[in-house]
Amino acid sequence: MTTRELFGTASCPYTRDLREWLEMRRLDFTEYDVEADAQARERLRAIAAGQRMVPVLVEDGKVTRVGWQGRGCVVGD
Amino acid sequence: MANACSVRVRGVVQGVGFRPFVYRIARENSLAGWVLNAGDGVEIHVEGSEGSVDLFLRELFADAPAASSITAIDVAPAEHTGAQDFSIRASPSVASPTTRISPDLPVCPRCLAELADPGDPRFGYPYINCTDCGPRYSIIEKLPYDRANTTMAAWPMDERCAEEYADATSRRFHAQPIACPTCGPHYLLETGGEVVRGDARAIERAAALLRDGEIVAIKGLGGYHLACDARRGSAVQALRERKFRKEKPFALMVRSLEVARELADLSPNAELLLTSQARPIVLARARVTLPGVAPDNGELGLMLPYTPLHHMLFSAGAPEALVMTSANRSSEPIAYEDDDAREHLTGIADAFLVGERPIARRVEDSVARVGLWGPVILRRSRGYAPGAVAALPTSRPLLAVGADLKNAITLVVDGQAFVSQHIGDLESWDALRAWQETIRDLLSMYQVRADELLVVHDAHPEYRSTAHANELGARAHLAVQHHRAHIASVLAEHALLEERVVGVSFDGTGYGDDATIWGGEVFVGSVAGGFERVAHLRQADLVGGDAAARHPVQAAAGFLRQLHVLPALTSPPFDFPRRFGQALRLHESRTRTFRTTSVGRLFDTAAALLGFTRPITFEGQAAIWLEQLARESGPVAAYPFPFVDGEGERQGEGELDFRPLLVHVIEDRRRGRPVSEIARGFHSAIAAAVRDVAQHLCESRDARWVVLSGGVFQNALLLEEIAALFEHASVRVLTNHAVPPNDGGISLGQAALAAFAPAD
Repeated sequence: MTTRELFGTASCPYTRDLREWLEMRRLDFTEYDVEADAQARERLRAIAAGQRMVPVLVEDGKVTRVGWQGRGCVVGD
Repeated sequence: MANACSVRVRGVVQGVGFRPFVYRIARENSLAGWVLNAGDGVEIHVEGSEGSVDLFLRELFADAPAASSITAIDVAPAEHTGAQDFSIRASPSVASPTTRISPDLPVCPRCLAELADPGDPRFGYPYINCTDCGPRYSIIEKLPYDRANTTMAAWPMDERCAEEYADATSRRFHAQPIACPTCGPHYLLETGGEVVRGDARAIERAAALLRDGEIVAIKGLGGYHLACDARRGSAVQALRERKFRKEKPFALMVRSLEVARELADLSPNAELLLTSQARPIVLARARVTLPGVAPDNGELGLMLPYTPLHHMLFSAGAPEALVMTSANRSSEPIAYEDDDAREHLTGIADAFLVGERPIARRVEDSVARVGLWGPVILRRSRGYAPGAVAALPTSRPLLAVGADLKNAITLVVDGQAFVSQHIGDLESWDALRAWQETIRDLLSMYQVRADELLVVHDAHPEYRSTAHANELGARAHLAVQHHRAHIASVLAEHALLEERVVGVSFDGTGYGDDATIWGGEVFVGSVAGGFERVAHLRQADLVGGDAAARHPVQAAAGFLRQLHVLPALTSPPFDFPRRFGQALRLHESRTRTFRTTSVGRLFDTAAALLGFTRPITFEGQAAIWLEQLARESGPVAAYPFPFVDGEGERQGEGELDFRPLLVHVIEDRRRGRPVSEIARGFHSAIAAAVRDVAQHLCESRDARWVVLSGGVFQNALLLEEIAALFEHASVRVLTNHAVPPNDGGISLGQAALAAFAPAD
């Protein structure tokens, strides 16, 4: 069973698109809002080499998808 | 029922008869209102019966003039104005920030005639210019474009210049850089401890030094050049050694078109490009070999004189073909400030020909070539920058900061995309500083505040441009994936922002959606709706990260490991050096090894297999070598390079399998087939794969265009082969013309994709 984590923000339209894509495929995932959750933000940067772009999909601890079809929001500090 | 609405049409809708067309269909439908050209398109107000308005809108969509290209029509309800008839209105004067800044212009024939006329007050004056010609972007400090805002501010006009400046019948009416020998700046020559003053004497002395084989630093329009006699191998060699430039070709400036024709094969289109207003360096097949100028390269880069100074140098007897290379140490930005030039070029130049007029910003020479579908710009700078290259449907100011290599930036103001001059590779500290200066410069020129901006950068978290973009204090940030930006750059140029296309983006390296290194990507989609990745080169490994891009045999290790049987390559005919074995061991330990789909590295692999086993000394060198090699052969059959579309679970994951291709290259090399034929077969294989992918996906995904962009498509032979394959196809090919297909075009694509981001 794949562990699937979605890092995004509430306002990012590309996070929404990736979320809908996962839901459409009936894939289970845990979502983190990296704007609201500083810990999740730190974890994302640790996994994805300082990545500040969202959404990021992490499967079994590995980054498998950054952005949605080439676009993503950038999260500040 | 009465109705009123305002309509905003964007795209290529100015200068194509759009307003008369609107006027006609409004009158035919008995509507009142007006149409006018606005900053970012055409604005229409119509009022009348509801049915008539509907009919008008339908015709607006369906019957627009052929030369127009509509990217967006926004319709909004409006207040009735009680207008009685329909009219074409004068355009409102737009506040200064969107004023187009002219690129620098070459000296015009009339100024040249005066320059050579002993009876003219500006005889032999190297700063002669008029409203038809001369410096623009390189002297403007700020807008509006008035003398006081240029680097000419320090030289008050004398009576004669002031008279011409004020005379509406003169061709120097409001020529901001107007000057003459009495009131304007001058050139002087410094050599050793000696200073030669007087324009003519300084220039004559420089010409004499060049004849003697010396290296002279010459201050031009947008920076300093280093010049020497191109036909004197020892001078060229000395320049290479002093500049630390091993093999990268030098550009030449030649006295006249006749000299250019002696040196290279020039098609009529190449001559048009060479003599065009931008006066770019034009790449063409060499007819002669000039030792040291372009080692291992069948092409020469030629340009014609474009300043009065250049013409005077040749008239004064400078050698008729001069190496004219940007004055810098290798890979640093061109020097343009006098003190900086002296500091950096001491020890390189034997003499300095220095003009007093300061340069406001560095602008290097542009590089272009004639392509099958029109000119291809490889470096967009002097003569082109900072022209607007596209209209984008966004009203907010937007800054796209480009990629880390061959950087250029794009500023979008009122929907106009202005692309900066070429800045360079941001790896060097000087280039990074130049990048920051250019951002500040364009923002202040167009009076855009950083905190209003949407800043767009690459998706790569470790790019310098990404890190620094986040420090700009912008209102919002957006990241855009590298290869989609390549595809979007083409579509932005062609104003096809809503068109659904198949995009093929082949280059050396870019950060992918899955955090691996991409470079062989195929997309379906549009700029407006986004691009879905539907196919890619089969994954291989990049051993040792960026170092693999500098050592073709190291790139080869990561690709050849994918074969079922790894052939012996350290013995003849391959003779791979030790580095190959080291790379294989590195690969086994998985140290610094990354997954990649880079077609650039596939070219490096083929080059290594055919004999390019040493490290490269400039980006793209092995691929250029391979192209030159392939040109020595006539057409041959393509090697197999099959495209397999994904099915079932792997739907949307088509793959180009390079393994059969490399197996055939290796077998033929071992059999002793001429390497030029193998190189040619390799090119044909890539071309055929592009055709196969494009045809299959255009059919299955309902698209009519295939868009090609990325550094690999600078390869002219590859484009020729592709063009031949598409000659009778229903699918049409689109490529870059206004911005480079290499990373110099990335910022435009970033801007285009960001223009469709939902407003926050």
